[in-house]
Amino acid sequence: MDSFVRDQWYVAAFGREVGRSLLGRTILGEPIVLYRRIDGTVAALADRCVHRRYPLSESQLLEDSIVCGYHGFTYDSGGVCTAVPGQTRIPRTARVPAYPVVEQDSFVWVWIGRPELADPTTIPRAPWLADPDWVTVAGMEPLNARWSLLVDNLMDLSHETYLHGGYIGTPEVAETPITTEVDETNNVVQVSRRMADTACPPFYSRSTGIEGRITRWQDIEYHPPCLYLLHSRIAPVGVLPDADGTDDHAFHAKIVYAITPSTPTTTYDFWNVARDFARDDDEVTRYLHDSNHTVVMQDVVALNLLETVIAAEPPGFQELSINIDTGALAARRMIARMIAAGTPQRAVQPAGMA
Amino acid sequence: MSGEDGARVYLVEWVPGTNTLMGTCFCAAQMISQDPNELWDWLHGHPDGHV
Repeated sequence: MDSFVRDQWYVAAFGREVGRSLLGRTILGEPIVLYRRIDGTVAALADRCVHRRYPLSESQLLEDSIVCGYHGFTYDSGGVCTAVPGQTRIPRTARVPAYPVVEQDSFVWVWIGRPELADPTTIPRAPWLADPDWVTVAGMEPLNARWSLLVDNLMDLSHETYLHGGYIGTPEVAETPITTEVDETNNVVQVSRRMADTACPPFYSRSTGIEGRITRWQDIEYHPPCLYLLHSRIAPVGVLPDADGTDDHAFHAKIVYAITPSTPTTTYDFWNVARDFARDDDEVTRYLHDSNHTVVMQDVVALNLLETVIAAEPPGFQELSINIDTGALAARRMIARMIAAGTPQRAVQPAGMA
Repeated sequence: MSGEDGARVYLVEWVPGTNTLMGTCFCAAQMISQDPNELWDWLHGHPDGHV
C-alpha cells in the first residue's frame, strides 16, 4: 500500500529558504526545484530536465527561467520549454510539470497530486509564525525515518518524560491522563493533556522566569498529513484563564511541526516555536532556539534508530499499545483512511483563529 | 458526539486515577475499555453495537 497521502498540500520549505537560487527538495518521492521569481512569487517545477533527466536544481537561473546545466534546455516558471540548443523547433512535449504553490504562514506549500484538485483554502493555518505579535524560532532537520514515526512521536508526548528529560519533560507528562477527540468530518485529531500542578521544565522556567510549580496545558491539534500544532499554555500553578476567555496571566507557545514525507524512509521535520512572551529578549530567543533544536535532535537520533530496527523487522511485526497511545492510534487510523480514500480532505482552521 | 458544525466527532477520555478509557461516539453511545485499539475499533464500527 502507498504510505503517502496524495492530493494534499505539503510544506516544501520555509519561505526564507527560497530565493534567487535553485533549491531541490524531494516531496513524496517527487523531485522538485523551487525558486523565487523576480516578482517575488515562488515557482516549483519537477526537478528533472525532459532531455536527459539532469536535475534542474543543479542548473542556472536566468531571470525567471531555468537553463539546464547539462545541455541548455530552458524552461519558464510554468515549466514550458522555451529554448533548446542548436535548433529552432522545440518539441511539443518539452515541458516539465509545474506544481501549485502557496506561500503562507512562513511556509512554502506545494500540492502533491492532481493539480486540478488543488484548493489553497484547504491549507491548514499556523498564523502565529508570521504574526508580528509573536516571536518564532524555527529550523528544519531531515530524518532518516519514515514520516509515520514522527507522527507517532508527536502525538504521544509522554515520551517527553524519558527522551527529553531536563529540557521539556517532567514526570507529570507521562503520568497525566489524556483526552483524545477525533473529528472525522474535518479530519482533525486533538489530544489534550492538562497538568494542574506540575514541575516546570527548564525550557519554560528559563524562558518565562517562573520559579515554582506550574499549571501546564498541552493541547495538540493535528491536521493530517502535514501540519501539527501544539498549543502550550504555561502559568503559575492555579492560574487559569478568566471567565471571559482572556488569558493575560499565562504564557503561550505554539509548537508547530510540518511533517513532510520525502521518500518512504526519509522525512523533512520543519519545527517552529512561536511565543507571546519575552518578545524583546534576544537571550530567550537564543535559548529557545538552541533548546528546541536539542530536543528535535534527540527525536532525530531516536527515530533514525527506530527506522533501522523497523526496516529489519518482518512485515506485520507486533506492537503493544496502551492508554498513552490513544491519540497516535487515532492519527494512524485517520491517515490510513485518507490514503484509502485518495481524495482531498476538507480542512478546518486551528483553534483561536477568527 | 457531534461537533459544533454537525461533524462526526469521537471522544476518548482516560478516566483519571484509573486504567480505563471511556469512548463516546457521535451517536452518544459509550463504551469503556482498557485497550485503545479495541475502543477505536468499536467507535469506528458505528453503528454496530451502538445502542
